[in-house]
Amino acid sequence: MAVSIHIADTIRSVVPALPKQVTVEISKEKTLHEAALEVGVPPVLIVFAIVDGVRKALDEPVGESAQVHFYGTMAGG
Amino acid sequence: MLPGYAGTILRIDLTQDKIAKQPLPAEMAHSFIGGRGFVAKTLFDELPPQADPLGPENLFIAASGPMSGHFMPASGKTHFGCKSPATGGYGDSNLGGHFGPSLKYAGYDMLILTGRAPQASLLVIEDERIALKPAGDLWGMGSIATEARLKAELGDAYQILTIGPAGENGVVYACITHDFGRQAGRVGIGAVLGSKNIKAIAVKGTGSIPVADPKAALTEGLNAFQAIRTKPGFTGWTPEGTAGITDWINRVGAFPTRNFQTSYWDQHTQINGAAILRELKITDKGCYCCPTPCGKYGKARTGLGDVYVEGPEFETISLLGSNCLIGEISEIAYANYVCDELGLDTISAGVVCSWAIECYEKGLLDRETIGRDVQFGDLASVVHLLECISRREGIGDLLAHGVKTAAQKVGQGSEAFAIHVKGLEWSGYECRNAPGMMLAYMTSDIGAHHARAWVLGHDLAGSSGSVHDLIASKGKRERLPKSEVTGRAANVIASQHLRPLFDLLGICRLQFMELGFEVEHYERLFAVITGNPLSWDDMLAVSEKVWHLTRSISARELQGFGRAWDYPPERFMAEPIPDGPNEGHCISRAEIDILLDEYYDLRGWDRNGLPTAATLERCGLKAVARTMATWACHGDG
Ligand code: SF4
Repeated sequence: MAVSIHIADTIRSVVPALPKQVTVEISKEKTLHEAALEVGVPPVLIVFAIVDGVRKALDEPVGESAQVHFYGTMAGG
Repeated sequence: MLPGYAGTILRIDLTQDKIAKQPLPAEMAHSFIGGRGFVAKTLFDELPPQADPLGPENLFIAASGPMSGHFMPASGKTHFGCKSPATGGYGDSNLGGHFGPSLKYAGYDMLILTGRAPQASLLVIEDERIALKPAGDLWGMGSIATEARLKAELGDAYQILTIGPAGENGVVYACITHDFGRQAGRVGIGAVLGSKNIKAIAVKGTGSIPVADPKAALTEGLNAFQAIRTKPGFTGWTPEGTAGITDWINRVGAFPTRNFQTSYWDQHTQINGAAILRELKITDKGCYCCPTPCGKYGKARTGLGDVYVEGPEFETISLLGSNCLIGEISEIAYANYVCDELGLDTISAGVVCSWAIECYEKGLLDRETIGRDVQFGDLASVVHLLECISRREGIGDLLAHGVKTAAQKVGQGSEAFAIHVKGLEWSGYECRNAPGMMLAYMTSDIGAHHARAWVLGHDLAGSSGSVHDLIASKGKRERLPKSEVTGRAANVIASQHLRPLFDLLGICRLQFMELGFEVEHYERLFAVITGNPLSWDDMLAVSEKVWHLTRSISARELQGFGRAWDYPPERFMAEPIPDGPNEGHCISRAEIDILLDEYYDLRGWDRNGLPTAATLERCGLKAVARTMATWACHGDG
């Protein structure tokens, strides 16, 4: 299944080598955490994921999603 | 006419009851932009050196920025400044809401109060009309209650700042409250207003602000609002606001817990952003022109009573929550409400309370001194301490001085776990294994505050190669490796210029920081509003200049100021974290020295942490260099 993964600037600001967007083939049973590892995003930097417009935890499966956004933080509280 | 600005500084000498309106100097606007820049420039020029922070000679400054009050996202920030009663050095703090825009619509970019009113007073500003009214009947009232009463009496069109009993009684971490829950929390700015006998400031402005290119400003503003709404973070970040990072902060082992004894707490899911939505929230609440309202207004139901309150946001969750081991979101919200009413900064208050409870546990403060038994995890203990502090009764008189002074008085080793830098209590991130963030706290110009630089992500990025499973293990099995301390200064410095830049402009930084809203929008908006096409880098250069200036002010005000003021508390250097992802880690004094040396060198300061004359001159602060030389307190590099 092809999933478009978007990596927010809040993550790219600390790992500039990461692309803004990448499309990967991934099975729907995999978790978002595993998807992050697959595209080289350190999960430790991900504060939350948005999957098809909905906020998700990283231990949830990728499922049938088409658009995944990984967000970090630059601001804290 | 200065496009973007209201064009006037309003000065009130409260002792003499004299009001003066002065045109905003164009040179000041160009050289210092606004907000924090105006605060620093004015404090350097006008504060009598060595002034008593709670004496009539201290200045109370409110300053908006050139982008405040304009049609663009989140343009409602107001900056406040003074000599800090918490640290004795440079102090500033800001709040959102609607005050700054109203002040500009009334015709003023800045309000400067000097002297002391002869009696408790309410300052009312309605366009060109300024009145100081007796407010003895408000004295002693809570901040929120005062605002509600003034709104009822004056009308909803007034934007109101209030202090609570803590500000009246000179608690050095008293805050200013506005809009029923927005605070300028830090550095004791509320105590400075209280020392001037001002209980509240009400402003109503009905004018407009000149704009260089009104048509383009409208188009750019609209574009900016539309662009923000397309950011995926718009739907991801906004619903929980700053509380949405709670789980992550805990997962990476940076969650202050039990007076910073540890950095991980497995009850975090009971006090996170989801808990706010589940148990408290009634509605979102935002500042002026904000498309991403991060405030969560709700109702907290506790054994001590039910209250309506805005918050808690992340810092409050951290310091009044995990750090005091309060594990119910409704109880944290209740403590938040008590702080708001009493006029206490929730960050400092949380640190002071947790320190006092640890002192009690260790037998350094007894039941008689405190007035009751206190323990971690007990809301009634925290509320008892907060009330004593605000009234300066019993133990409260000691704690009202802040954790640094209180620990110096109690002694017996309690200084080691008094968590502060320069006398300002540490905010919501534990960083014994986050050396960049540690350095950010150590060198923050107002003391241990996160809003000057936030580089936790950079610290973690360096460790991500060997840690990949913190999520799956929920932080329990995996351990973060010990972080390298070298090479941290550059990111800290860049962040110290970037974040405070928003405080110069008078806008919120969260849309840029959390949603990735692009720099180009700010550059275009600044150009069409002010007619001055500064690049982002130009603005960052001003922000750098202000950084050297604020350090110079502290050097002038604090005898012997320098490197010794930048060290973290002993606990971080001597006690390894006992559990969680950072178990076993602490940072040595030698590592702290590496961090400081690198930082001072990159900054162009001497090894005692003072800006050299060459650095001040390079940044356009020639006059400051000359003045500092007469005070013999700039670096000699
Ligand atoms: S994001 Fe929050 S703090 Fe910033 S302007 Fe909006 S409501 Fe205010």
